[in-house]
Amino acid sequence: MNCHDVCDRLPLHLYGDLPADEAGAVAGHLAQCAACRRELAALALVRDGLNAAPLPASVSVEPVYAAEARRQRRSARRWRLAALAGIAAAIALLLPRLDFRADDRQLTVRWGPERVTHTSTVVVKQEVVPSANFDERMARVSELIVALAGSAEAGDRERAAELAKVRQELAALRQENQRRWSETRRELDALYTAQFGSRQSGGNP
Amino acid sequence: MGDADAELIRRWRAGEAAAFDAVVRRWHAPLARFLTRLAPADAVPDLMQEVFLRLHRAGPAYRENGHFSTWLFQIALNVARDAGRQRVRAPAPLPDHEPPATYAPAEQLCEERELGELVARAVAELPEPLREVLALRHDRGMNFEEMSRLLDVPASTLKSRFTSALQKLRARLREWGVPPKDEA
Repeated sequence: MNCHDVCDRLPLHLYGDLPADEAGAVAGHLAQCAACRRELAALALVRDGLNAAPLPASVSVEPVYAAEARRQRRSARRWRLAALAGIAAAIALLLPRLDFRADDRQLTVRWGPERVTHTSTVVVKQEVVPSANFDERMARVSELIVALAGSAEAGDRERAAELAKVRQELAALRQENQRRWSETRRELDALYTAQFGSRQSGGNP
Repeated sequence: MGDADAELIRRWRAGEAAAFDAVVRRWHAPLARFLTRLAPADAVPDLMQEVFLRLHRAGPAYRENGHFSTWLFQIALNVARDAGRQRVRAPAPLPDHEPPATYAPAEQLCEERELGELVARAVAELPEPLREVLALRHDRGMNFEEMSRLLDVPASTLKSRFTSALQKLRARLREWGVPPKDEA
């Protein structure tokens, strides 16, 4: 290292902030260079002067507490004002809706407009129907039921009669058809006989 | 020191006011020295109170998953930066009289206070990024890796800034005729 390199490193060397290898190199140079040693001495004087710098008078803690107390009082005052403003707003909103009544024993504060209290029971209003009217209605209902039943029975009878008539007609038709078939067979037999003789005589055509 | 701080914080969060007082006494000097690098001397007392005020308010939010001192100096750094943004950074006033071209003999340098004042003036002339690195390395004892995490700046950059800061201070003292110490 030359003097320029060493002088650049002297402040860090003085405070022990050089890496070990550089510190060794600087120390080796200083051992042989008076100029650099004087420079190091000058820096040491600066360090002494830094240690000897006049300090201000002791700081009192009282002003710290006083400042903090003032800040807390200001904060508390702001909260009190905010609370008062809130209460005033609430009173302004609620007052028209409050009803104060005082007697010799008590003070009643009623909220909202006065109104008639209602019982919680439910009154069921019963309407009694007059009996005469009811009997007539029941009689009419009975008549209707009977009429409906009679109508149903009459209908059934009619249908049954119609069905019987249809059966009769069918029976008559069957008989008629049977009779005609029988006649037709006799006529056919007669023709055959007339033509070919009796079937039993063995007459062949 | 970390366990002691953690214990004090636990007691403070439990409602013991005396624990907070103990935290202030414990960290007053390191914080003051740290803030002295970052702000004018006359502003440091107010900045100190602001740091402790923010600490007091943020206390309930502190989680014991890191170093309390790192958290505290993060607050201090933010306070200093906020103050710097609000303040038009005027150049450090020149001393009422120019330092003598040739300083007093070395024996008189035992007046550490005078040296300290001169160095403090020189520090005030440094740009803010250099002052921050100087304060964190010298006053806080933070290594460059920790600093890199805190400031979100590469460690190599921070080392360059620190080197530049010391070299500038050394140059300023030389201009004021402060001779170097005997060889270190």
